[in-house]
Amino acid sequence: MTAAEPPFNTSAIDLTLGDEILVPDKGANITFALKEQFSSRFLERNWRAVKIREDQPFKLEPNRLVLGRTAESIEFPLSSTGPNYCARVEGRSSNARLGLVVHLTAPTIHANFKGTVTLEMVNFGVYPLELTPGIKICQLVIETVDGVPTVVPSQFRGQSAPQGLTASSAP
Amino acid sequence: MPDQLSLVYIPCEIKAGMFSTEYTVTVRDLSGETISFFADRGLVRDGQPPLLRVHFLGADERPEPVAVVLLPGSAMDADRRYVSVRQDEVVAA
Repeated sequence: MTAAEPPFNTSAIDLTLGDEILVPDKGANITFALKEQFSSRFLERNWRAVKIREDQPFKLEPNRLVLGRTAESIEFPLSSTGPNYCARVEGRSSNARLGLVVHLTAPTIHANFKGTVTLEMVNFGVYPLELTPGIKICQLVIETVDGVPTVVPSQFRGQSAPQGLTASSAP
Repeated sequence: MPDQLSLVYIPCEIKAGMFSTEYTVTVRDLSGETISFFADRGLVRDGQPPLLRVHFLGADERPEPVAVVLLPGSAMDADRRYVSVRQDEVVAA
């Protein structure tokens, strides 16, 4: 980003698309049971990674789901003295008009997160969309978090739950 | 013991993740329960065993020295967001 084109506006920060797209195997005769504790093995085995470049974009056909990630890595470290932050990832209105959504029901970037942001991208439009690394793909809305996680000392050994992290609107 | 919310490391198991920038990380609670989630590779220190960066939450000495740590934010959609581990498994960052 240049100084003339800052990655932020009045209320959000723009993030760009990274160079890796994950594509689910098409036609695999698989049913996944959601009661399974974690789906990582299923996801690893049935998705393939595709590298994209400026001259080799990924064509997202209508009604297809792929996973992308942002080029930028973000971190919301926790501090006992605060302030602490979390965020929500949102789409961009210009892309939305073409039918592109970039997250499916999972917009929260929790406090204590570190990494790139995973995007669940679906083309709900009628035309194929070319995904090129570096395009503005989503925006991040930062929120402050009240309090810090604590545990009840008498409830260790897997019985206690950290308390105290709640999101609030940024001032 | 470390200060509350200070960064520490705990043992974990790692496998390749979906993206090249992440691992599938599995940690084990003292209860025996395992928790798996995707985590940025920058949160894992290579070694035997690999070590996962977490936040220290608290400690208890009874009936044995136990530490409770908060898992990375990427684990928040997993069933558990914290684990109890033996205090001698906690490594200073």
